[in-house]
Amino acid sequence: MAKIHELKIKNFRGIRDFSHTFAAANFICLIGRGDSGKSTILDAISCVLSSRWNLTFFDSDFYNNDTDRPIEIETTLIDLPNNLILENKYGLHIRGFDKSTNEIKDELEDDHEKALTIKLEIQKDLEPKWYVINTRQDSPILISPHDRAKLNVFMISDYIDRHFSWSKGTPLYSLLKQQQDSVSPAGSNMVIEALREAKSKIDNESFEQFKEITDIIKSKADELGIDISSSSTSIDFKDIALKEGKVCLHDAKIPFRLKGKGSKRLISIAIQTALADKGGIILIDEIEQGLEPDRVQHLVNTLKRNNSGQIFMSTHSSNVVVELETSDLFIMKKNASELIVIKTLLQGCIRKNPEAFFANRIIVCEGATEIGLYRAMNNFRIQKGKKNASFLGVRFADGTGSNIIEYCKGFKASGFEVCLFCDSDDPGINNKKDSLGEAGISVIDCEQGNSIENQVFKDLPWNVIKELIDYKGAEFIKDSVNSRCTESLTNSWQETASIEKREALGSTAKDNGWFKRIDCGEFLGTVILKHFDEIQDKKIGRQFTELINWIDNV
Amino acid sequence: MFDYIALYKNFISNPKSLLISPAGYGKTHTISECLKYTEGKQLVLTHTHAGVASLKEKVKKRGIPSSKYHIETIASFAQKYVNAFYCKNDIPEQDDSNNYFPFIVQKAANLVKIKPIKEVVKLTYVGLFVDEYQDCTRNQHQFILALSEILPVYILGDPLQGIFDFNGEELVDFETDLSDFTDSKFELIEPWRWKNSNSKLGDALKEIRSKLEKEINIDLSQYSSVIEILQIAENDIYSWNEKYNKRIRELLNSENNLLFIYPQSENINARKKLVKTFQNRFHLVEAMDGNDFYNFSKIIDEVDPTSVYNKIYRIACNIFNKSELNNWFNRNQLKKKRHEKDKKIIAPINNTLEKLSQKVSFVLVSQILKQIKNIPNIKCYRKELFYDLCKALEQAEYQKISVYEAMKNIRNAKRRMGRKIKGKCIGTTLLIKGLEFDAVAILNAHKFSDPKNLYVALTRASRRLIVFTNNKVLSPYVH
Repeated sequence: MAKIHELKIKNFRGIRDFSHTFAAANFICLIGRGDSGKSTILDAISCVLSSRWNLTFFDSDFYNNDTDRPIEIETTLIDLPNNLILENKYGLHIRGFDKSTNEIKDELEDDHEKALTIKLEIQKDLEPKWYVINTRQDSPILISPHDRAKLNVFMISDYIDRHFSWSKGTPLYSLLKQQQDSVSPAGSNMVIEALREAKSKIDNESFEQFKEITDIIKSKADELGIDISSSSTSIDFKDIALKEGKVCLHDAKIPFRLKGKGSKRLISIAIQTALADKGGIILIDEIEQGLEPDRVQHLVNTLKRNNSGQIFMSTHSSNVVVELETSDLFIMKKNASELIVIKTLLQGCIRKNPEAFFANRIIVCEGATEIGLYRAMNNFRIQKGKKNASFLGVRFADGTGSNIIEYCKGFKASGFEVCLFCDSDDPGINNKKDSLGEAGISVIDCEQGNSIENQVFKDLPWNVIKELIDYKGAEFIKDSVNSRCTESLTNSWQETASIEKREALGSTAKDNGWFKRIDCGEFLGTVILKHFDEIQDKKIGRQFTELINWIDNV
Repeated sequence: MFDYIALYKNFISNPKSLLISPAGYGKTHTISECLKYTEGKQLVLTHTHAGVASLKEKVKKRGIPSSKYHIETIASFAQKYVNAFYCKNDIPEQDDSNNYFPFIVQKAANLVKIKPIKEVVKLTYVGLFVDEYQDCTRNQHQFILALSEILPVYILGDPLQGIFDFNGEELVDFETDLSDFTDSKFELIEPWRWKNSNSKLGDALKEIRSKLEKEINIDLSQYSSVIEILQIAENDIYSWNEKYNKRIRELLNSENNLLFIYPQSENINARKKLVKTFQNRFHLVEAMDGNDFYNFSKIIDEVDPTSVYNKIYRIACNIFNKSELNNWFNRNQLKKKRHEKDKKIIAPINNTLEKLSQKVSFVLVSQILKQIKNIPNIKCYRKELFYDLCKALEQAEYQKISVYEAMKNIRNAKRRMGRKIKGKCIGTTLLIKGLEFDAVAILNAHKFSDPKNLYVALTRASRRLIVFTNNKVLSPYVH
């Protein structure tokens, strides 16, 4: 059943000109910062493939409110349902999908797959028009809502109460149609028939016609971890009128529409994934809405595992992102002309740093110490009245030591601005820093050969070092430090400075991992920054200045 | 009793099947009967627009639901696929029908070999009937063979009716070209057309058929009890007092569904002259791609305020009776009328001309043609041309296209829909083949020079056949 191969959007809400080819992707999770246009993409799909007779548009739906430029949403579909490509439907308007190049061609060839391009256009008059287009024919032909309904596209949004009724255009109705199409004559409406029957017997009779489908939904819901086994179909007595919209799913005697938000979303998704079992396109905006982290993770996993149609979702939740592969993730940036595809070499990075993928700019920190320093620096910014890094779209990623070069390159290639924050005691990494610079990645590191601990103990004024010694306890560390010195340390060794002591302290701190925890690193940073004014001309001070400047993008 | 149901079922049980069906033996009937036993939607292709119309009528009468069939001409079916899928710009202009149709059919044959297009055909149709197969050009035959790779193909035809010498293209030869189909070959044996109306006529035609197949001369006096024969001199038709002319007037008075068949098809003028001779009491069957449809459209496309009068007059002369027209029109302007009554009649035309001389408008041209038609005593002897021209003018104005483009659209729509011919008319064998009339009068039957054309002419009447000839022995063979 139909899948979106390509999507083009022009002048729709926040998107001026956008185009993306999804090719074989069946599971598309859109991430990106707020207002980047993720929901607009989902809305665009839901509009262009809508089965509604009419959709209401406003001037504010035009990019920049400029109604002189028409809204154009165009999508090319593959794996089309057979009943749309009959000669008297849109069979004469098919296009060729070249699998080897992912291109859409209008001159058909033997090894092409069938594709169909549907375009929604809204001019100044705000009247939406849906066409099937290609470049062979001069005049596009209109596509009816009835035919668009065959594409089975459903948006799971906030307004999902109607998803529990058997009225036209709802996913339940589509499911019914799917099952019924081959058996019952055209023009009959099983729902209305069932309703008439039920009306005569009122509540004594169950709605056997729907049992098969409710069973499917029960098992789907069960998979998603919600128990609706006592559900059946009955008349909702809100007001009695012979309309199919009045027939809806109930939990015992309670209509589903009265359930909680999260449960409603899950049940709605259950119904719609049942539909997608035979193919269909499901759109879920902010999938985490109303769901606990474990429930949303279970949901995402199940959707991904059982998906036989195509699912588009958006999320702001790192809980969702950790469950996915790089190939499932697509980043939308404000004013971008296409989605960013994430490089597979970041696969491990997703598990470790899901949050980073929501940022625009990333500081890859070598390890826990650097992350701690980064956090201290961010607190320092806030104290000084500067903006929080996260507000500026900056987020750190944990480079876990050995992976920092890979991560930096992966992030950069995936369209992020990247800065590496690390020390300089690993020759293997030092060798690669030049290539990072060439790739446009900023590097903030220590003096040649120095670890971050060496640098700290080299550059800090002795009175600050004393604070750190006190923090660790002078007696406790004396032996370790002593073993790295030529002179023998006295009991008041911490009172006087020497280059040798500085070096020994640096090595001891490093070897014993004094600051190799985020909280310890943060403590270190807080102490250093308290004395920021005194170290501005030292390397460690310059490192902080560079970090702050990079965050401020100066 | 011959088991027809078994025949129908056998005929559609093979993927490539042939049914030989002489004229009036129930070929169209057979197609509609077969549609009772087929599954899904069947594509039914024939050649002429008239053929499409009569097939549609028969199938509808039999109560076959429209979801079970789609009837179209081969040319328009091919055209549909070429318009939809062909990407190059080398398609000949449509009024260049000598090149246009062969081109279209050949490209369509290539297109339906492409997998995704093949799938569209296969999803839409379950089987293909081709009617009047004798009329297929070799080119069309290749197209049908390409379709036979996708669908089972059941062909019906009669080699003795293969007269469609369209564009001088070579026709399919049943002997040599249909070897794939001869393993499943059937034949209709009863002259059904005449069973109720005139069964003796049916028997006579069956006999004549076998003579024509063997190229034996036909002595019509043998059949004088079932065929009305009048020995005449050709020119007598134009003389009011001669029997030939008189007999035709009698026929026009007594018959409602009447066809005159004129043996020569090269020139339309002879037929026009006959229509005039009999004061428009019958009308011309127009060729689907008759040049006048396109020529007149082009003439109007080039109209400007200075030439508008002249061009309208030229066209009117071809559509209306010229003698009456000349009471009102001079070559370059309207005639001055003295009587109040005449002034009143000509005033609206004058008005419209006035407007046209300021600014050309297609709608006004159409309006003026209609106004001319309303003048008392003006007769329109080319109704189809008149109506299509008015329609083309209006569509051209509203859709902002040329009249020529609009006319192409209109003729294409007719090609797709099929047209019906009713009442009294005159045509040649080429234009009326496949049609059936209550009464048929063959004019100058001795002029037929090949057995196929004569056979087609003889077999059009269901009840009454009248033959005008200068020799009762017909020998329509080229020796």
